[in-house]
Amino acid sequence: MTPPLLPQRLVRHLIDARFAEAALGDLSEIFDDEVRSAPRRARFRYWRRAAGVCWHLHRRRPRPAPHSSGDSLMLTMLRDFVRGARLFVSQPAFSWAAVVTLALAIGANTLIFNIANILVLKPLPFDRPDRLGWILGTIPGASPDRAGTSLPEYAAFRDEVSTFTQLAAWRRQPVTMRERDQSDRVLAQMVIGNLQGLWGLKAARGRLLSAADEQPGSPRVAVLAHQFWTARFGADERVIGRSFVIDGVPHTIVGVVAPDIELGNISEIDVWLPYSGDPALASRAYRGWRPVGRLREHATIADAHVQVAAIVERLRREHPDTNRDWTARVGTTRQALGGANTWLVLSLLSIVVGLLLLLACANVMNLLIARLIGRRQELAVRTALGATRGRVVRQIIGESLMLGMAGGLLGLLVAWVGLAGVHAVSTEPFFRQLQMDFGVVLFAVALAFVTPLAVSVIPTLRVLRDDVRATLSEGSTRTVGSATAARGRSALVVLQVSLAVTLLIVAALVVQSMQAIVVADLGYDPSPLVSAQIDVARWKTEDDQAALRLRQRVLARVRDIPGVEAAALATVLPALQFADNVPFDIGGRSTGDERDRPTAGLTVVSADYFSVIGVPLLAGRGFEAADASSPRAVVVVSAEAARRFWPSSSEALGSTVRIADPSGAPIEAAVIGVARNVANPMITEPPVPTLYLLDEHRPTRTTNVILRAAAPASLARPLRQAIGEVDPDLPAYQLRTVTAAMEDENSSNLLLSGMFAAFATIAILLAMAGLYGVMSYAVSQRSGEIAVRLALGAPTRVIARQVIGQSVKLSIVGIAIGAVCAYGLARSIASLLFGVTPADVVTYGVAIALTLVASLVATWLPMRRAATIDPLESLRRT
Amino acid sequence: MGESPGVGEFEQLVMLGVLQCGADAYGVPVWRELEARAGREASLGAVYKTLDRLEAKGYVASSVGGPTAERGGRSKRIYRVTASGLRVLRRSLASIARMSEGLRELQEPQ
Repeated sequence: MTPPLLPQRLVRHLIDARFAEAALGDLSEIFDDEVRSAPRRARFRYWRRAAGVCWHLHRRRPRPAPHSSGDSLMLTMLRDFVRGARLFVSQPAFSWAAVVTLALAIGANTLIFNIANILVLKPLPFDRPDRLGWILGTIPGASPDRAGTSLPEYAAFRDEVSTFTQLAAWRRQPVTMRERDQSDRVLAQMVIGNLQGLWGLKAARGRLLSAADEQPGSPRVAVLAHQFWTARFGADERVIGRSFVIDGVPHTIVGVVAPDIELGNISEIDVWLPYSGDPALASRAYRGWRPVGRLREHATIADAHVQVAAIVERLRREHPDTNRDWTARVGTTRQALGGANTWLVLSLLSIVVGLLLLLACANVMNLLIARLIGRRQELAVRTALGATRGRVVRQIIGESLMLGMAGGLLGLLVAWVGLAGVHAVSTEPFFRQLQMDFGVVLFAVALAFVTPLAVSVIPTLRVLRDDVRATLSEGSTRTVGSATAARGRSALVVLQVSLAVTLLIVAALVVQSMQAIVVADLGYDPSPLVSAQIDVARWKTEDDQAALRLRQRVLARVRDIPGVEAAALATVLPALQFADNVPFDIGGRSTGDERDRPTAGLTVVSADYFSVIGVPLLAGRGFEAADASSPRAVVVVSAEAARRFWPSSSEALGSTVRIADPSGAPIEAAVIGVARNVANPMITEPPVPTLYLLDEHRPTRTTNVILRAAAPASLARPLRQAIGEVDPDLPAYQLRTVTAAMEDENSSNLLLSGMFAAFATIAILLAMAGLYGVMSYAVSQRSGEIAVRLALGAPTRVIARQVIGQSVKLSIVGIAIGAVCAYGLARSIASLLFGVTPADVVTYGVAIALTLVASLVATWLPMRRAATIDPLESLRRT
Repeated sequence: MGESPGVGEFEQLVMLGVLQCGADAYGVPVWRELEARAGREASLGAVYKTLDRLEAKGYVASSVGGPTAERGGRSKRIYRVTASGLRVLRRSLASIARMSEGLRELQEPQ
């Protein structure tokens, strides 16, 4: 067995030629000795020993003439690298300061890159995703692009939009999937048209769904998602062909989708179903469908949009009752997958971490310059002895690369820890798909290389400019404080302060907004409430009265659960879910122009809803038992509805409304009360005007069972059990305390505010460290002068005031620049802000004060040191 | 010139190691002596480095031996302690001996 080749080459090239031969011989002798007992260990030890030999004996002398060198650039760099490593070990304080600074910045940037990677860069799992056009609906009061399309609208698009070769649509629905006596609640993706083909999915087993499967009379089939097939059936092939009862109807499993869609909430699908022909899903009022089309060759998204917009406009005229407020546009795949705010938040995060990186670079550059000046003598001697400038410059870059790589490694660790934090805080599928994949690591490595190159540019230029002879004859570092150097330092101070102020202000504004959202007044107290959703499906009973009786049995049963104080039903959870928007007419006022017809969210509740939730009535009365048994419908309106549609609350009371119910005949109801507003589920928007009707007067299918209790969290299991006892075919889902539901909603806000707060903290720490570095260097340069003045009797106070005054002046310039930048940035993200204006005086004041204090501390520390040194000692040293 | 520069502890050990190895004092045996006699697990590199420094000070001299069949056919660099090296070594060991003379604290426990 021979010794490993690579370390032999390293030894030969890196160490002094006088030793190479003998050292290699010695190494191989020891190796021969050791290899007999433990071959693997011998190889390892050979490596270690060879590295040790290189470490101790690497060539230090400049080569006599550049041309005599047979070394490749690679080897020269390697040598610089070894030297950088030695320098690293020999100056630990400097090295750690630089490495930690770089690591924090690289880590933060890597984490944000991870998010950007998924939103912007990662290839989408669809077939030619740039040729897909997504029809995105919008209704007022809800998030833009998040509303769906009704089936008749879809049909109009499919038949009339010629820029699409194919159009398909889907909707999500939790379904009950039963085989014999085992039933599961699973998430179904119901499709119309050839959606799977259009997306370019492949079948892992069996076949995919096709448009033929939705024809009336065709056998009912279903396709499993790969993750569900593996998780639920252990990837059992025999599941194909088996029959399951899905929502009461037997379906045959015909295939499994190949596992190539791991994108956001698409990965949550359990089972794919063709549209069943259910008429309730085909009404104009039901906007649960999401259409996507494949563009014809040469057609663009804009072309498709023009056609879609024309159809939207025509439908608005033809069906004013359902289409008055609805608009739709054609979006790209990325637009369909990420909301408008996502882009804003992402760009803001990118700017913030970019500034952080800039700050870190400024710090490291400053450290490098300071160290380089300390080594001017050494560098000058080397140059005088024949080292070319290029050689010296390469050495500086090699040292920086060493720092960058250490920073990059530590930065990966920082990013990894940050990611673990993200996973701990957020339950959202989007954040769960963040991971340290190859691209992310590559990004960190690239940063680790580019950053040190960037920061060594200026120090290198200084070396090139330096006059060797002058430096040598100086014989000391006394006169380094030249005018240019001082100007450079001042610029660095201003840059660091302004970056810190910008980051601090923007982060503080964002954090305040996110916190405001989290603690915003909902209009009721969610803490004593727990809820579960139930769905009396049409396959169970077509009879609305039977469905109502079933819900009432559930309500009666859950009230008996020990610990429950009260229970109610509501079609939406207040401040969490959006209600269906319905148009209505007030009293005798004629409809007149369709555009003036009021619309409001319709929430269907049980009689004691208001007392259970804890929403007070501001005028009139709430529902009573007598209202439920009376055939005459009554309605409670929210304060916002009363304010918007009636001259005053008292005029609202007693008037009648005629509610156009999309799922049945219009409902005529007398207004009996005005309830306090609950917050809009999009908390930054004003409250939605709401009409409350009793369950008895308006047929519903899906509703929430809401319990009030002292210990709501402990009731989840009994609640599920109680509902199961009433009807085993009525699974409860989304079972959670309302507080938990709120936290789920807010988890991204909490996460983002945590990120911004962390970045702001890093920024101010980096800026302080940077200022401290610059100032202590500046003070040390002047320590001779300070000593002379102290010796001549100048009071410490006067000198301190002068030095600190100078730094304060620079800080104020930096703060002014930073505040202006922050304001500009805050203005551009105004739509993200809530409860705080882009020019919030308190935020700016606190941030400015904090920065000023930080810069004072950073100046005062080195100043104090200089002032306490014995003047004689100080003079002797310089 | 003034007096010759002194030697550090490790340098002493390495010079003693060279002396112990006699005529065959090259890297490996010297390194082994350090471990066997002084219990020092030095790295090979550190030994070379020290020998190089001693050579620069003139306390050891080296010559390249002939290539051997073992060691991958590579030659050895053989060291010997020079006269001035011996002088310095003697002086520093003697001064240690004189300084420790009669110190009860340094005696081996009985």
